[in-house]
Amino acid sequence: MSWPDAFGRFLEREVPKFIHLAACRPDRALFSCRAYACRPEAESGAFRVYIRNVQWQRIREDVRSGSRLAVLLTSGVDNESYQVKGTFAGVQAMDTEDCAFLKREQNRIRIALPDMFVPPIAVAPMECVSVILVGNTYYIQTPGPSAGCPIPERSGTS
Amino acid sequence: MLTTPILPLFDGIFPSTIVTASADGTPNLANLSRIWAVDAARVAVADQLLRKTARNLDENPVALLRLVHPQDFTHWEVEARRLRVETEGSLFERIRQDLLAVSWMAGEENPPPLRSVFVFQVLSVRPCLEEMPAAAPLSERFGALLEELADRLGWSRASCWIPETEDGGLKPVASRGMPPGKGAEEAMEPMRRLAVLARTERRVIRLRNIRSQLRYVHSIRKESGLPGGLKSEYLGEQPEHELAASFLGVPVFSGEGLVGIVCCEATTAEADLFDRSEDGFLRLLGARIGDAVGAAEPLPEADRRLLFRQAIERAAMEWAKRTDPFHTVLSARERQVAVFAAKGLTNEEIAKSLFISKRTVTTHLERIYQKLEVGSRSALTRYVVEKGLDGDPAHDLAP
Repeated sequence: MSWPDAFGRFLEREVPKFIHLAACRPDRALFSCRAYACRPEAESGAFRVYIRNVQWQRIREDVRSGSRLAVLLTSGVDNESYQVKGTFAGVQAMDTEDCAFLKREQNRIRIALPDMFVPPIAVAPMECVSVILVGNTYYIQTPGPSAGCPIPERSGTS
Repeated sequence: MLTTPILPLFDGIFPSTIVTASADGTPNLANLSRIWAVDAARVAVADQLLRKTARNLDENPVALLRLVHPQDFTHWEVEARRLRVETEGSLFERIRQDLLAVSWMAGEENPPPLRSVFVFQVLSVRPCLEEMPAAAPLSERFGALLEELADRLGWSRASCWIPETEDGGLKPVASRGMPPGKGAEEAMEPMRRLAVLARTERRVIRLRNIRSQLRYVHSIRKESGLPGGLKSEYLGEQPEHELAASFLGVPVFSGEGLVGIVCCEATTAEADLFDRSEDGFLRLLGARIGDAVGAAEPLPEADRRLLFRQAIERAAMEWAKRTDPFHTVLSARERQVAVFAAKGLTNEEIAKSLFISKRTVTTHLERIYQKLEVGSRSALTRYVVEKGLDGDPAHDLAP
């Protein structure tokens, strides 16, 4: 499994990232919530998206294996943005690696934006769950002429 | 539906997001630099770069907007249904002008054109309270405040008191720099009295170098056999230079409501500590802190401190602006002329705008240069712009 190089580079950027998860319920009502970090799994090509457990409880009845999800990731320093659309592949409690990853992302925000209160750091790892998303399509969302276009470039590695 | 308290959501201070879904239920997310409130029941979104969102709305007109409240950073969800697409008209023009102004300021010479404006009917509005962490108790919030006041203003011995009962009772919720253990309660007594006074008078109270006067009063009471004489080790047996000699009480207001009182004390050695802050600044500080106390409720400790630091800095900046000679020395008319000149208007244009003669404008400018001690029109422009004094001159009629 893989994702486009441009998106892979973005994931590795040492910038705070603001993340949103969206879903559409069977009755077409929309759901969206803040996500606190997005950890890629190179081997499986899946992403672990951390959201509050209380948010998960709001959609757990509506999201099943194969449900369509979207995740928007935006750099907090220059608006570089990407959207991943894919399918839901499960939800898990936060493990040690998830907790460590979330803490790292929160520290990154603290360091990058020291004079600004940022809500994404106001959550404890134990309040979150890990939503697993298998990415299918990737879009550039950075403001500009390519905004909204699929990323054509794909490679065999992340 | 869009009530006054939530209108700041639409000021464009923080980016927003829009969620839509295609006919097959695939969601799509996009960032928006701003969402415009059209009236109490409608909002508008500018379509400059929206592709999938526009396609989805043709298939399914429902959207979910997420906005950030600039005061407490709460996320709000607005569920909305697209009513129509506008490509001309007053709303379209207003939004186009707003976008052009921002692009101009950003130095963007070829901004993406505004293709259309989506007008939405608001279906529901709600704060995302489930994303807010558990509230921090008052003691922790005021504790963070005292740490910041010590760092920023040097108020190292301080306490916070909150109204407990309608009849004037006060409860200490945090203290800093006070002796621990047995003597703590007695050491806090002068500050408690000060807090009661500040609560009753609802104003800043400052008592400078009153140690010897207090000792005198206590001596009289003792000699008269009255209770309340000088008995505390904290008050009586410390070296003189370590004794509290000056006191400051600052009421903290949120709107019109008193939410607490910050009391501080300083020793003889640092007797001028409170003199550095004028009453006007302290009143402003009390108001800004009052706003922050509420907003700090859901935050972790580090962020509470950041919020209070911002409140203190904001009060300092506002005070510096208010006390600038621009406001204290210039007349209302001179301020208008100064702002127009700073905006690049010629003397003739200023004269026309203010319905005065060109010669009067020249006279005003000469006085302005003299009063602000600037030597030229460009120096005046720098003065006004750099200090953020270039508000709408038409509104600047207050003396």
